[in-house]
Amino acid sequence: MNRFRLMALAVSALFLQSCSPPSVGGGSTSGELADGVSAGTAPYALLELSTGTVTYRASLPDAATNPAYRFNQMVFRRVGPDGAKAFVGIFEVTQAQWSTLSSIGAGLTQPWLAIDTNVVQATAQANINPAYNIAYDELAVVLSGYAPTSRVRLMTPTSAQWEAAVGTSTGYSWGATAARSPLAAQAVVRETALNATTVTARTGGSGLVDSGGPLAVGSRSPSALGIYDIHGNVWEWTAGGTEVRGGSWYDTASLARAEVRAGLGQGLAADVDHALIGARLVLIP
Amino acid sequence: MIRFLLLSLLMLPVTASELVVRDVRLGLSTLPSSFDFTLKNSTTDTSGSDSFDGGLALDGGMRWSFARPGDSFGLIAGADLAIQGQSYDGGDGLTAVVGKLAGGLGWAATDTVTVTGELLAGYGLSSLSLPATTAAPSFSADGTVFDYELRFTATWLFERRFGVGLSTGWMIASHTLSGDDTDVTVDQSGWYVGLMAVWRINDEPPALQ
Repeated sequence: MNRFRLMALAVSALFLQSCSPPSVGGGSTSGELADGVSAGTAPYALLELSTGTVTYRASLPDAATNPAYRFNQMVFRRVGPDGAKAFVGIFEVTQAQWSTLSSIGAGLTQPWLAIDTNVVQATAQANINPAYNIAYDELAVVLSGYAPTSRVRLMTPTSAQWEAAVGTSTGYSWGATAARSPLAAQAVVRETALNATTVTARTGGSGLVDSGGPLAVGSRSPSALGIYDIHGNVWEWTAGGTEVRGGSWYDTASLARAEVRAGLGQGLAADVDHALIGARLVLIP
Repeated sequence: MIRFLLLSLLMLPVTASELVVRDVRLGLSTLPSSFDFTLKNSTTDTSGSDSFDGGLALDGGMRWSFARPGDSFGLIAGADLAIQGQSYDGGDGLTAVVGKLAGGLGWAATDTVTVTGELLAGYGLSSLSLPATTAAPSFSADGTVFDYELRFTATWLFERRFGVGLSTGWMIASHTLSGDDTDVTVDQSGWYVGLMAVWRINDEPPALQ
């Protein structure tokens, strides 16, 4: 009997040693691996603009309604093929966000104020509307000056990253054609953002209509990837400053297709600011 | 104190019994909980240290001795198959199935007690699974593991063919995993202890030629 008692005691001791909390020397579960996995796999990343703090989310049910995501925070969605995924902003950069970014790194700039309200209506100058009249060179200065932490960086998307945000390199996020229903639901383009009669009458003159402008970001439904305003609202710079993508509130839906690139052929250069051009950013956490 | 222990060891009888090990073993052992990791993909390149809640390994294997007739010392060789499980943050954690080869020295201290010291090298399949959190969906990655151990074991036969054993050792395990577009390495090292049941399938000494 003593032999079996000895065995039972040894088994008990073994299990107790295994199941008890780890010793101080062995460390306790700190969650570092879980944090790393979150950073590596979370669908959403939230950047607190003033501090550079990044937090991750498995889902973001309040994306359409939370005002913080258009003011002091930026929300990014992990998109792209395996091996080349990137955190792309779900919204175009708002005027409130631009003001915060530029005040941190480059001195406060508000380029949209330089546009006559006869060209883009005054109601477009609002915190939650996209920043516009942005030159790539100015964008680059603002982003290079934004370094609240040693790691976090904001960049303009590459063409591939921008197309990953669309979900396709041709057509629209919902399909190949500009079907009326998804166009009206998701895109801020001429056909959906302006009164067609007004546009026709007024564009015979000097160009831009005086009754239009970009809408508040996220005014329309998101794409299947959870990206807002990827078609229309404002053109978006891509890395390098030679191309803008996505069309605008003033342009027709055909120019909002994923394969359309406006660039040097349209007189665009990195130092050109334009009332129809804004930005969408990529987070490097 | 150390001198006393060394002196005691030297005074133990060294020719007590003939080394005859023909054992099948089934054991349970702990695993070191702390680990270092790296994690890399297109949006993350990070590393750090962490620890599992705890873990156990179920080992099955056999050992064979090679000793001259009458010798209490000899060579020991064998193989193990281990199933390892380590939980993380209350979830599944890391699991592995590892095949190991063992080689070392054995000493028959008495007719019923045998002490072995051996080196083990193993290779196997490994799987990491983490539960979903508010920050990320569930994550899983699969890969391989290399395992190296220095193990000391004492077995005691309480009947002619059956016995129990205690072991302790130092192990190094390196897991290389990939999943969800992410490459992960998990490196563990540390002490472990184990308990085993022993079945001596044959206790006949080698035949004299």
